[in-house]
Amino acid sequence: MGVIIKYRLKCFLKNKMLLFWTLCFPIILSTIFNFVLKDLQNLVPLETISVAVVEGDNKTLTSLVKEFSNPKSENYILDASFVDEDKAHQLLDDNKVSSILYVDQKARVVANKYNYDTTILKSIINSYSRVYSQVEYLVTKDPALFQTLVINDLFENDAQIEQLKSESSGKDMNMIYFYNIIAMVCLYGMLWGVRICSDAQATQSKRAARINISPLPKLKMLLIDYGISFILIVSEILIAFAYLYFVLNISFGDTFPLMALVVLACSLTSLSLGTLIATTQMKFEAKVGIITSATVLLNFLAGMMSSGIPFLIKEYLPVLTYINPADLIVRSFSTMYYSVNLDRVYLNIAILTGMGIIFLILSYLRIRRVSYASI
Amino acid sequence: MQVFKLVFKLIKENSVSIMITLIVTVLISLLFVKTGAMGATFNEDIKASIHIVDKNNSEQSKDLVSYLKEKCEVIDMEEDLIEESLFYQQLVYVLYIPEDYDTTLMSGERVHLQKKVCANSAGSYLVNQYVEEYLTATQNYVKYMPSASFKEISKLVKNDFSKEVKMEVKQSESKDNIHLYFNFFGYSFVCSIIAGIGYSMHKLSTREIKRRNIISPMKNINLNIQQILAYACFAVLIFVVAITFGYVIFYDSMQAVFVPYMILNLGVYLLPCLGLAYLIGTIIRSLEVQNGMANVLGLIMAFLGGSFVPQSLLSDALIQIASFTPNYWFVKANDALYDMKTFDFENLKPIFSYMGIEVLFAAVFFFIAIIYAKFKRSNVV
Repeated sequence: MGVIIKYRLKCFLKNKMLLFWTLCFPIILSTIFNFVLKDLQNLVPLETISVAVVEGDNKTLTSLVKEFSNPKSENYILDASFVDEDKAHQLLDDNKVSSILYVDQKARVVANKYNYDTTILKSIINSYSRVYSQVEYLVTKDPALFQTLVINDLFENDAQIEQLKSESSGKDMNMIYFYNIIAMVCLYGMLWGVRICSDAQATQSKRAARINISPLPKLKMLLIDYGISFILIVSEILIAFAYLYFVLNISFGDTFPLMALVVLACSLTSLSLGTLIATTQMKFEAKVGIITSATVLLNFLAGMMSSGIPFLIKEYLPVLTYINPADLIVRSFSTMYYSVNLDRVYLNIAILTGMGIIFLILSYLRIRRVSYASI
Repeated sequence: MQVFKLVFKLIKENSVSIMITLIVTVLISLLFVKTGAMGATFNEDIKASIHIVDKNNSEQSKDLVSYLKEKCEVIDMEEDLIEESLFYQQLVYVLYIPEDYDTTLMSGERVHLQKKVCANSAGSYLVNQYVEEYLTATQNYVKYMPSASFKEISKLVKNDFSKEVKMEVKQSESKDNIHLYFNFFGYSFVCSIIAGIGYSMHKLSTREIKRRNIISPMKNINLNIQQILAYACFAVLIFVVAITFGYVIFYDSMQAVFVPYMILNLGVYLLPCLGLAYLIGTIIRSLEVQNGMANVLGLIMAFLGGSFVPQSLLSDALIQIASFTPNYWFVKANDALYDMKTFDFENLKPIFSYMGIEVLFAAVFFFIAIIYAKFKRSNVV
């Protein structure tokens, strides 16, 4: 038994290129991600809005704009440049300002395109139009108000909108890109599964033929191979983890035992899924092609290329979030990162383990009775 | 053309894998465009995604909800999904309307609402502005017209809000994000072409076949030319499939004036992809590693080059690094074409220079591959 384990381990470790790449891949990709995503904001951040103001005869609106562009004011949001019309257009064409505001009786905004800056500016100026409309109505209805109405009061907001503490507040959504890398390493474990199965089916390689005519029971051989591959995948994932955690300072939450469980469960699933794919009658190359394409697709659905995709999937095809191993892994890590409620993580571990066991049983059932008239 | 035919036979042998790679990458690019990804353009005021928890459910609270529905994209969801949605930034604002909202509002007292927001986002500021503006407008009428019914007040508020400031937008023409479809091929072409070429190069590089080729009367250069020609034809086939998919699915968007130039750019981009596939096929023998490397290189180049994240969001240092990848110049050309207003030679000059850089990358990849192959050939026999 010990001899078999030793030689099978040697066999696996001899595939240096695969070992090297499955190890190097997360390190290289996460380093690049770290560079690309370090300062990346998925949401449009709240910044001062640069606007060219062409002054007109509207004093109330001018004072409103000045209030919003006064750095000492609590309403400060505008970076207003008071210029003439030609200069304003020049600034807009050079993209130095996001829009031009004409401050006359019929105020208007000119912009190159619609964006948050123009929408916010429009909303500020609309408050002037609203107050103007209210004064007009109230004074018409009750002319006595003309003496007492203080226009500034009509701008004053008396409501209180209290901000509640959100679990996800201050958490960096870009972490899901790094969690996707871990998921991808796990899924590449399928390649090891294909290796195991190829060595168990005599028609797949010369080595497999030799193994098949040996007196060793197939189940024993499979279990040894499976155990070794499992240890190899887990080791690779742990190295990737160590790099992400200690070198790149990527946070995975504080629940280390749970993290370890997720890693073990997803290693089991990917290995058994690889074994199951390998039991089909396709060529080795086709199996490798399927696995690499499937890995990319599953990771894409888990948000590797666009963080909005997992949410769309959850909305339109929720069942996929329970069967996509990449999504289960990414969601587990992200839940551990931002939430204190870890129910979803336990569920995901259970699903991953269940899938792993089912794939394993199916693989064994498919290859156990295969015998050969001639090898 | 024996070698040419052989390469296609080998590619056909691996057609299942290639088709899967291609379908998966095209499917991904379609989803990528449909979701808008990052860098989407808008044709109207931006509507932030919000969720409202109305605990009051009165005429007054419904009026506020209906106002916000006009200004924002109100998403319905289960309570337990709120935190996840805020984390994934699918919501920027959650508004909680309290049970006593109607009585407080109508009595002229201070209304107390609650919110959860995506910190420091323009979207949450905007929504807050809308809520405050609505409440201020309503409370003003409650204050100055105490005898008025809420129905009357609501009508007046609606009338006030209908008088919006006039907005003129210079680039108001509707443009779909079709450049994202092309940009995504910066990733998918690398994967598909390596998957196709890698397999045949893997088969042709086995020791027995190499030995047979060396003793054959066919000149080495002839053999290499036929091989490269076959790979080029395969790449063109992938290109045709990609463009056909584009026209079938995005027919209207593909009619834009810049699309032919983007197609030309995509055609030029085939060259560095071919060069890279040839280089990987020459250096890497293991098929598993070839496939893995195709994805890793594809992903790295795509992230650095701006296929997934717009180049405008990348830091200067990163742009400097990215400029050493062909994908960066490919995406840069596409983005410039998308923003171009006049398509004359003067404006198109930089685009052609970007394409020239892509060709240079291809030349470098082929050069390294040929040198490496020449160096290795001495070890074959």
